[in-house]
Amino acid sequence: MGYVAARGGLDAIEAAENLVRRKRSEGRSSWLEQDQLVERLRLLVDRVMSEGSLWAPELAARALRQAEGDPIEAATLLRSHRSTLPRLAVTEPVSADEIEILRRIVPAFRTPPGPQLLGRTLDYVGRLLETTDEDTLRDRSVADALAASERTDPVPDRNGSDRNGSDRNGSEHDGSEHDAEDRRPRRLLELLRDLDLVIDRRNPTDVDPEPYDISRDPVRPGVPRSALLSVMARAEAGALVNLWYRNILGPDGHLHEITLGEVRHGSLPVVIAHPATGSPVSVGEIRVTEVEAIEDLDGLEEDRGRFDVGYGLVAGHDERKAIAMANLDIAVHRDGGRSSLTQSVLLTTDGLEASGFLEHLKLPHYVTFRSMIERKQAVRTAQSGGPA
Amino acid sequence: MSLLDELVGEPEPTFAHLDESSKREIRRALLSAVAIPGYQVPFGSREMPVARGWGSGGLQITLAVIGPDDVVKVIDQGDDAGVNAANLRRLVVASTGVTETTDSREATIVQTRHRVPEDPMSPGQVLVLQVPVPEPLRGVERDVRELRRMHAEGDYARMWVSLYEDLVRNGVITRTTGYPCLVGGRYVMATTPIPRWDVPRLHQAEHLSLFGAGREKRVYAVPPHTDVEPLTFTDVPFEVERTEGARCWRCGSAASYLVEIPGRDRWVCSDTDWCGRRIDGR
Amino acid sequence: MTASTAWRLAPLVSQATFRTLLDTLARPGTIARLPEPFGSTIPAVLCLPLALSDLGIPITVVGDPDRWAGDVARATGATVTAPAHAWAAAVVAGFEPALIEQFDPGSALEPERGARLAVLVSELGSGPLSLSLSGPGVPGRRHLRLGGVAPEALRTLQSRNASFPAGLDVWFVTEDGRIAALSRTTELEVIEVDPWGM
Repeated sequence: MGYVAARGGLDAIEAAENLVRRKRSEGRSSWLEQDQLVERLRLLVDRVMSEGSLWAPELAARALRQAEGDPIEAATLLRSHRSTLPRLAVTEPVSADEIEILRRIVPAFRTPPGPQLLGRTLDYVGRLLETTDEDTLRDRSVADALAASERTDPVPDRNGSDRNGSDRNGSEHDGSEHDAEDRRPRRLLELLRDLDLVIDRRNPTDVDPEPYDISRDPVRPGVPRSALLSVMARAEAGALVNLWYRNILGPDGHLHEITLGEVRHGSLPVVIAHPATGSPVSVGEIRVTEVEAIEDLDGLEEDRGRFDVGYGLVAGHDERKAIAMANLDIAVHRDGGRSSLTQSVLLTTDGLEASGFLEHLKLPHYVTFRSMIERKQAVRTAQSGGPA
Repeated sequence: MSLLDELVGEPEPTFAHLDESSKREIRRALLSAVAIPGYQVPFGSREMPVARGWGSGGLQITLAVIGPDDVVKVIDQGDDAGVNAANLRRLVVASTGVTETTDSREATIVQTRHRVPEDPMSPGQVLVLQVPVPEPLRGVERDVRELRRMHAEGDYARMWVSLYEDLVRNGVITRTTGYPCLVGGRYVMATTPIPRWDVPRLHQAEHLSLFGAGREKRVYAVPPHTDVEPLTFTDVPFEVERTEGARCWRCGSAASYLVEIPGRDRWVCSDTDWCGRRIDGR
Repeated sequence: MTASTAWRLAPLVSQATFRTLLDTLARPGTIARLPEPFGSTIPAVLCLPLALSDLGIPITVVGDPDRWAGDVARATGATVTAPAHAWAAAVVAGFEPALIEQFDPGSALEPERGARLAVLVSELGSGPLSLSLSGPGVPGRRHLRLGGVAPEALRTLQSRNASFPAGLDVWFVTEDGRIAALSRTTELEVIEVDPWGM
């Protein structure tokens, strides 16, 4: 008898699932292919991988499609999937200096070491909605694709792995002799160190601690910087941007605006120790956006004759998020736990947790609500002088 | 990538969805929780196929504890037919093959959101409660470092002040569900949003209660035969939810937690299994 | 098949072992039986580190004539350390005050760091010691008979557990796989029964 009643819930869920599945393919448009998402909505796919904390463009595309375009839902699917994957190896550390750049700018200097490579960016393109008719746009895009495949554009390749989105159009030379072919330029931080303009926070004992694994161990204030950076790397992009903004202009006020040193978008190899030989071998490649943010030190107890640097690194191409991350990194360091900033960054920026908790309000709460009504009645009784 | 294929090798069959390493992490935390009643043990909470805030913690506990001979019951607001309960139940059953039941007397593991079953549970049973916010002091302190200190030192003065202010302002203590309780005479614990009605059911119980907060990444526990005392003042009795004259329109009970059907002036048991069995005479 | 591969527990075995550890800890003083193969092909006292430890978890085996520690580490990925740093310990011999003083009981801020010990005893449910137990998990009072443990060891354990929530949790295990637990919350009174009596 009880089991029949319980069937009701299961029936309701199954009906909802069938409805979603049917509606997902409704209309006359064709099936949305994974490569359409990866190639045409690359930034959205990158965002899902970043917040899903898993480098897998096809799976991210699949998740986006299944989630009907909701990036949080897609990231949830990816993270849940990630949980089921076996942990095969731990990668060898790779220096960010090995980033093979697709794009690189250094706002702090006119002619930094290495190129200013504008690369693939919409930053300086007019924000005008393209109003040309659909047919013309479609024909133009087909012609562009044809022309691109006919052009001999030697693209340096490593280990036969696929290079995603390398595009050397739009590189800007400002008349310096720096080689536009320099795909691993010397970073600005090194120049600042040479000029003794930046404080050195490198560990003097040269002991490199294991990074904190936030997917395995719980995070709370007191965790090392590697945990903070990991949290931000997979945080919701909007959460970091908004936290940055409210701390610059809004009520909280714990941040200075930094000056950007490096903004880089490029690829990095994924390297493991070969299980048989032990020597390092690359098993793939990911793309990252890396930012170094130069912070002006002006505090009483700080070294006011020097700068400090904040660091941001996110998977995929997301400059907005990486810049916010770098600025928050240095802000948390300078704050030293005095304000609520560390807790805000560590505990309130994960998109899946925030959304999940928010949306849980849709679950039935009638047991609680009945309890609340009862207390309302008790308060009114007490206020009217009746028995408690 | 043949090296990657080599590394992947044969997929290991999993029981209960989680890999062995994840289960051990949860299990170590559960042993700490049982050894330190009411203390919130941090654990490496994994992402589950239910969203954060929707029972991922309770689910992890159930999956870490459950064995093939267990019988599982899952309820939400006391109702086995609740959609979220149904979803969680099928996830557990699909990954373990265990028998499911709605009868709280038959279950060996009861996973619940916001209610304790009306029938007293027995020594062979484990109650797994889903917790949205595990921190009972959340209303009086925001900084997590200070909260840790307060629990570590047993410094609950601010909680008592808050209850006193509540009483003075309103004439009664207005805490609704999730009433703060002192466990084992040492830790103040959030009783999740179970109603005050259910709080006495945790006190000196025959069964083990495990609490899971997946989003906040903490578990806690109340062993059997352990004191769970609602915080109140000596001259202010602890009040449960009760409405004069209310009875379940289906089974006639006034001795169970009732919820109102608005506009119809009717009440019904929230524990659907208990209610159904009463009607059937079982 | 080496000991280390045999000792990598099947998921259902580690689940059943954990359940036994959980149930006995939740009901201090009750005697349960560990699942196969503990007590037959795997030494029962190793149940704790084998079922619960994992990559990087520090463990120790004390009084280890057959060098089980290395096999446990290989089967689970745990790291073998000295007692002072161990989270899980199997004590085959030497459960004495000096050893008990070494284990880390954790702190008020991190009581979960307290060490868990599985201690091999010669008798459980019988023996020259009678422990009178009370506290969480015990309705009123419960008595546990024990043999092969020195009363001073239990008194040292009590004093280590005097600063709750820090403390050590202990499971007593016989060779044939019977097991009972004392939680750090358990208050105990040690009574020596007449050694020549029944």
